[in-house]
Amino acid sequence: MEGAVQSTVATAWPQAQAIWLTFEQTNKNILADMAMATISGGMTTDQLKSYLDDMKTTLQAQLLATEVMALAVAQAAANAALDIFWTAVNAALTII
Amino acid sequence: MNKLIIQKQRIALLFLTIVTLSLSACKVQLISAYDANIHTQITTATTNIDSFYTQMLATTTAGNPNRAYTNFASAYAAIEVQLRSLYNINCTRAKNAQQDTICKLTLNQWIKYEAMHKGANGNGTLQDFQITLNRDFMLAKMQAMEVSERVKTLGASQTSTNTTNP
Repeated sequence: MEGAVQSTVATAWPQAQAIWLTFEQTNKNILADMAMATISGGMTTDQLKSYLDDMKTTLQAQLLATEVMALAVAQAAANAALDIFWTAVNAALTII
Repeated sequence: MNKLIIQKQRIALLFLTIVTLSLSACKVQLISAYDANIHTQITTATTNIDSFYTQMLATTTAGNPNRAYTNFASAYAAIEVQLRSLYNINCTRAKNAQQDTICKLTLNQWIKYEAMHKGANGNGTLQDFQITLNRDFMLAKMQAMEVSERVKTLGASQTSTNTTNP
């Protein structure tokens, strides 16, 4: 049962890491574009504040997506363990 | 007497087997099931948003009347409809609070950017850096939305369920 949980988590881990790296790259690109607009003098302080608010909600959305990812892995691990358990119970009943 | 005991044992065993088989079908559900239709709808909306801003940047220039809000009003409305549809679909799914919030944040941001373009006079314009940043932030939100649907298959065998979209 423990093996099934470990295997599920181990399979999901590289995919989760790839997703986090994608989010990180997205945020770096946004910050670079914001820096460019600020340096070029095109952006006012109010506009900068407004975009920083958007950055905050973007991070919120990314954290929520990460939460779904964690729940998906937990759900898969729990179901893998349950499958092993019920297979064992069914096997025992067959013997009886 | 012995026959009666054996019969009772058999009934008990049968009952136990039925209960076990019923319980073995139970699954832990922490999030809503993956929906291929919703995933496609998210990627389509993402492409439309990307195309909208990229074309605006490529075919119009800052300060020129061709970048005025009225030239883009119908495209803004079309994408708003797509985003609201995604929000409404996700609201009706059980165990889907996170994705529901992502959809709400995305829709609110789109409305905010439309108002930014519209301006106080109802026919405003945008600078190049505003188009770039608006596209960046919209695509980042759409990416979070897409990931929140796609990860529902993580760690599990590729099970997909289809929901009829309203």
